[in-house]
Amino acid sequence: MKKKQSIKYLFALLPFLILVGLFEVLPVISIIVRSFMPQGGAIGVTLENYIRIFTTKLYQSAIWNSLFIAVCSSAIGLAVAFFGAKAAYEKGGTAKKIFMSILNMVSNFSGVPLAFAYIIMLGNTGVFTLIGQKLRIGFLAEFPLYSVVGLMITYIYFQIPLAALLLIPAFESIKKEWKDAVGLLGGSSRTFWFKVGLPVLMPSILGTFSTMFANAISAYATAYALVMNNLSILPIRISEQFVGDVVQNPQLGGALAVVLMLLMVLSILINEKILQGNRRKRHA
Amino acid sequence: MHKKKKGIGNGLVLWIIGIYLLFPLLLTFLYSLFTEWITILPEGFSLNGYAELFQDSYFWQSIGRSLLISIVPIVLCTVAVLLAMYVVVVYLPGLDKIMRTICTIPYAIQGVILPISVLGLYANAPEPFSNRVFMLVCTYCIVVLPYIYQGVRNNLNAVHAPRLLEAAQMLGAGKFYAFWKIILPNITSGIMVCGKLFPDRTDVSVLSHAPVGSACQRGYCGPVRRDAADFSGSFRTAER
Amino acid sequence: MSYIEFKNINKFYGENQVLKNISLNVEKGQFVTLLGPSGCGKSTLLRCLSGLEEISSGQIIMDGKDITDLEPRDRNIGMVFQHYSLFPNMTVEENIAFGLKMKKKSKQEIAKKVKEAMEMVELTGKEKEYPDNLSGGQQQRVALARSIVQEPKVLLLDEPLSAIDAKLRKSLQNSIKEVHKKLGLTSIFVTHDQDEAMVMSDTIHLFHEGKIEQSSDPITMYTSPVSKFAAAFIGNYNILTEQEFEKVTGRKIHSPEGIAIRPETLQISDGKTPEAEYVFEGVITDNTPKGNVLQYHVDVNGIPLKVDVVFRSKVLFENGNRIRISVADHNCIRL
Repeated sequence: MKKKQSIKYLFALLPFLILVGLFEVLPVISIIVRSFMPQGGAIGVTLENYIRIFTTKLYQSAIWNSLFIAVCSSAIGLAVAFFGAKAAYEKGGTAKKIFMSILNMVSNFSGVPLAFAYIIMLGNTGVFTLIGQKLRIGFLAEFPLYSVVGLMITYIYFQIPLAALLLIPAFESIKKEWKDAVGLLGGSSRTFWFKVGLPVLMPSILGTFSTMFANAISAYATAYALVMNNLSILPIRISEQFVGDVVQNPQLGGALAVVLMLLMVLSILINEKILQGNRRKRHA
Repeated sequence: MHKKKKGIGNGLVLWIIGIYLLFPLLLTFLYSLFTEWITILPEGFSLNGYAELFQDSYFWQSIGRSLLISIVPIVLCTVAVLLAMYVVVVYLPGLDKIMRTICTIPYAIQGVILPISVLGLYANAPEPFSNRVFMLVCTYCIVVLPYIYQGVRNNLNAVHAPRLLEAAQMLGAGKFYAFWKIILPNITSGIMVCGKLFPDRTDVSVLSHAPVGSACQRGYCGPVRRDAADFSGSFRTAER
Repeated sequence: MSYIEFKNINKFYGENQVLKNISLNVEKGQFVTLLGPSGCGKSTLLRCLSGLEEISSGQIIMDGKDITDLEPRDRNIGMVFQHYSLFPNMTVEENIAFGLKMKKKSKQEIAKKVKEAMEMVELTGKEKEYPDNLSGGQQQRVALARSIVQEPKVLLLDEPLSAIDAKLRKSLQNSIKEVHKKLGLTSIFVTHDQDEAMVMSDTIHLFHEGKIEQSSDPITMYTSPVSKFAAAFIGNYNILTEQEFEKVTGRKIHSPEGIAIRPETLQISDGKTPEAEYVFEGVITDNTPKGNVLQYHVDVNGIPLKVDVVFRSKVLFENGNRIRISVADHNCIRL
């Protein structure tokens, strides 16, 4: 029988537990609890907030817009980033280093500054808008920046560096020997990528998509700076329940936040399901 | 022949993406150098915008505040995580799974959700909780938590912390000494790098925009006027 | 009274019992090897002695003292690990000096002892190097020096050569034996390599599924395995069932667990009538050169046998040749 060890070391856990308990666990629990409470602050359990969300056009469109923008910007951003990462991996050397530096630098360029940049490019008196008007290019002249499409273009911008930075390390796992083997067996570069490269990278690609989706669907600053309250997306609808000109309704805000959280968790679960399916196929 | 072709193709892709990404930045910079831009080409080159900015005390205050609010949470969070990892690695390895879950949850509450929850919970609480800067710093701690945890964990794995601990114990060191004097020095360089790498994509601006009120907002985010120079300046201060 | 006594050691990992009532004695100054396949419990027992693992029940006595409840650092035991576990942020010198620093020895004493230790492991000149600039073999020498410099009562070596290239292994084996001889340290060595065990040890304890299968000196372990497992693990035995033995030799003997015959004890007769108890004929099916030994694969009435001969000049028998083999009864070990 070993003599009882002193448990003094448990005190080292305290800072972490306090920090996480007060600012992660408690807030999340409170927002979930609040979402089931009736508007006005009375104590009780009700589903009225959720019912309201799913029956009111305003909130339905918020959910739909958020999903649409998140999925599309993630998909497009991922595609662009994939080719960028692949090019960086194949080129290697200084070019890759410079590319990664650009990615790192640009990945911080989001929110208000990004919105501003796009406004001066494609806004009502933006440079490209003016060029479009001069040269009669209808698409540029009337570019709908302050809409879902405009927001999506802006989101794609900051999704690309995020995805590329996540994908470039993934390419390191592609072994040159596999390419050689495919070549020796009579396959082309396309064959390699479709039959070997992409399947091997699939977990990283899906994981990256998941991260991008979460990033896009919860982004607030860029959207607010660009369209303020005029476009219905979840983060804006959530924050206006707590601050701003609209009547405060923290309970509804809580419910909206829970919906947003569920959407993000859902994307992770779908991700996992697809990966599991792949694994099962392999071991079948 | 084949290789050269590939190199050009890849180089082209990198160029295109690189330019696409850098263009808005460069344009913003150009915008800050001219006073008028209503036709295709700008007019009136002037560095006055910057001169004004650098002389504005609010600007420097907001830079200082931003730096503070960036650095303090990173330090706090790192210390908290290191202390917790000390317990997990040396005494209770079973806790690692729980820690990993706790440090992954912030991904699901990123963006608006966390600041709004914190706000809702502590806005009417006693000091210091209702202090906006306090809330901001603590929320930011949670935002960076996954990155710091990942960084510390990766470093501990790379250095094979349990093996070093065992060797140190066999040589007469206590567990405490072994962790803080042997393992920590081997991971500090890694942590430094991690601190620079994690994306600053923190929409904690919600917290600063919303509850902080206009006075503090000016202080934190810099004068948010639709003036060319001001905007270029506030690009450095917002979102940190 | 032995120097180290393990008394009825049991160890559980959850439901899994890894050590089953192990009782073992080690005499002072001996070089003892714990041998066995992966997962048999040998490393676990070593780590229990070091204090890095706790035993579920039993007692460990060292030099007359019960050390069962002592912390590793209070047991005065040195340990060398499979992956060296050198401190990457310290030079070779600092690594070796670490244990002495913990004991708060004076600077001069530390310098002197470190120099001696480095000479003993033949690493002089590498004092200021960092571990990742050294080869695997050199790193392990540093680890060895680091353990012996604190003058422990016992030295534990947990598969120290498994991560090292085959060629380098030989020289390190010699270094370890040298150190053991010079310092007279009681040493316990864990390995899964039977050749290594035989080269290095005074006594070998063969582990199988948490129990000790056999404990003896290397020669006895090699020539007289007590069970099928022991015979299969040590050396290259031909293991036959009773029926197979009858098929080969034409004679019946009683040994339900089987009969083990060493390949080198099967004599290929050169024409003269052999004087062994069992004589039979077989056909050569293949041969495998193994350096200084040539192994013939022989088919005797459908039973494959391996026959080892010292490789003097050339392969004497071709595939398809019919040969006569003899073996003495005392070389047919009943298991």
